Amino acid sequence: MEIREGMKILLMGNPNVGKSVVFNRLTGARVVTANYAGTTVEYTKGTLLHNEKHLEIIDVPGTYSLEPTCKAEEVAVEMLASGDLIINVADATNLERNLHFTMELMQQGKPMILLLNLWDETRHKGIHINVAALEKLLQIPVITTVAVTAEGIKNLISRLPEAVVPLPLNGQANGDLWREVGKIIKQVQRITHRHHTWLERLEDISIKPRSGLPLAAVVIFLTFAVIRFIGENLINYVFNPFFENLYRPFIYHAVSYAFPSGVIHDLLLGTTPDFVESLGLLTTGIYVPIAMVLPYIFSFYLVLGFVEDFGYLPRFAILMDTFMHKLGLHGFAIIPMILGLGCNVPGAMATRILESRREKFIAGTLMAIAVPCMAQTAMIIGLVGPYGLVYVAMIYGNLAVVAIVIGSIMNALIPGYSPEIFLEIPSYHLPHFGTLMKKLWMRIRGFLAEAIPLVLVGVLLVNILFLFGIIDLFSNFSAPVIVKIMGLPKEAVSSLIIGFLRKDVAVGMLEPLHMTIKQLIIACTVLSIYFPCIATFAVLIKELGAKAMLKASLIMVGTAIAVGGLLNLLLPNFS
Amino acid sequence: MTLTELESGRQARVITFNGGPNMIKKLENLGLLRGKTIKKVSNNPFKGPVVVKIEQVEMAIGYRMASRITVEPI
Repeated sequence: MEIREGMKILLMGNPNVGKSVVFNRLTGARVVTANYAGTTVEYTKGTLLHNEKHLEIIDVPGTYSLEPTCKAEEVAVEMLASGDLIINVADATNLERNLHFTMELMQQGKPMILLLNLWDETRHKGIHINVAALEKLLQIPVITTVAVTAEGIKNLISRLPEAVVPLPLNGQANGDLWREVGKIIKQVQRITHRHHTWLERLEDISIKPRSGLPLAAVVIFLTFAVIRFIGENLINYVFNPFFENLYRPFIYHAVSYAFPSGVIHDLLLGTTPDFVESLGLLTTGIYVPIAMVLPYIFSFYLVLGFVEDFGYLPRFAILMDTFMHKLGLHGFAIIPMILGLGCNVPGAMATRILESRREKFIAGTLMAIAVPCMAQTAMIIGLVGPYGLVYVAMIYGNLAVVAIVIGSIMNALIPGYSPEIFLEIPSYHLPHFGTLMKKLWMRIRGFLAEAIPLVLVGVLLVNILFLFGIIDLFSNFSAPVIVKIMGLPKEAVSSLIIGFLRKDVAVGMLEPLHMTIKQLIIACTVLSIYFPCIATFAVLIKELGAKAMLKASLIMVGTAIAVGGLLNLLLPNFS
Repeated sequence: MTLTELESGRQARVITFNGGPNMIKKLENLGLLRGKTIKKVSNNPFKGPVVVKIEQVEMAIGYRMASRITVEPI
């Protein structure tokens, strides 16, 4: 077909075949990719320049069929009508199932190209596919690719004009598609025996509960140990020396030179020398996101990226399935939660892989209540850690108990039942270093672009609120709850107000209050529970609707007050 | 017997699905068809999911759904 300016090209196929990797290769854009089904839940657009014509490439969420079973699949099917050309991305190691979707697509009357991705894996797995024969049978171009290394991508681009509308299948009813696929497979695919690789042995070990559960415990422990090791050392040996020895003298001299004293001086540098306490735009506003949070964002996403691309998460989800059912969810819901540990925003987006509204409501509410993001975690480690890691663990223990209790209550009270886990388990892959680094960079860039402006707004807002005595007003107003029930100083309300904007700044604002360790634990726990940050809130409204979000908010505030009060009653004074 | 009763490590042929059209559609979408040979990989305790291998692919099936799949060991 003729390639025209502005043409819409859809990347479609089963989940986890590498559509997003192909997309990144074609457009130079960067969307998050990982080795499990459902990483892409919303379509993404990018541009490919093809012989001086701009083509719109659309990365469509994966789907097993054109009859959708969840929201992400609905997005895929809706996109279909708008496409001018379809690049059907298929997993070459699983040709039969992928071809079934290909045949469904072939009945849509759109020009098509079939991409056999993960081509390198077929050699390892002893799968031999006769591409020329397949091309002849399907009558559309068939191209083999290894998207992570860009192998075959140039070939794909140069062969785009060869895309053709498939011939109608000779009188096939839908039900017979599988038989048709079976016939094709017999003619083009041959599988030879070969020995199991160590990765396959590892797959076996991690899926069988007897070996998989202990392995999961080891993986969790190692994950946290590595994240903390990298994060802490970056702070101690890179970021803190830089900020104390270079940034501090520079910024103090520069600002004092321009504004020797007065409101602007105080607004920029704050009134105390401590970077966290000062609440100046250039001190707290820069130090908190860069020196305290960024090192942990880096280490968390480095480790998460590896675990994601390796293919471990779906196996972990299966082991967690029975437990998650107690909370009204199934095992796959653990994946949004894990993403939420980095940032609740992509976590909340990922709840789309869940099928029912009930599950999405429970998952979204639980995430907002009990899953602190890495920005908050970094600050908690920074603030509470010096008293002993056991206190940090106590905060996370509180949140885990709250998640179990609130999840069980929601499961018992919300009508309906939750669907069961049903998912394809990807093969393990050794992550591709370049892809890993690009993904890490993309996530860090996202953090910098979204967090720093909000942190600055937050710090500015605190200053304004203090300046006009509004914080005092709120403190007195909320004192009955904050002081009487939770046993916190009434000034802690300022932290709760800023927590709507950014949880990291909010935790930092607890420092100048010089609270006891018991009060710190209560404050950090309540700060997680009472409300998500504004960015997460916006996503949850979009995913759940305003009415459901109102209910969720009531659950959050109610839980926060109850938990704050209970901890105040039950926790000893740790003297 | 049902898929839940099948011993781990055994191969079996899929005989029937005792479920509605939605369940059958979901299973078939992933390539689990009547007449197919599958291998059971593992069971999870407390009515957890069953893992089976079909062709080259492993998949996890919730216990309730797995208990509605009849298989014949081979």
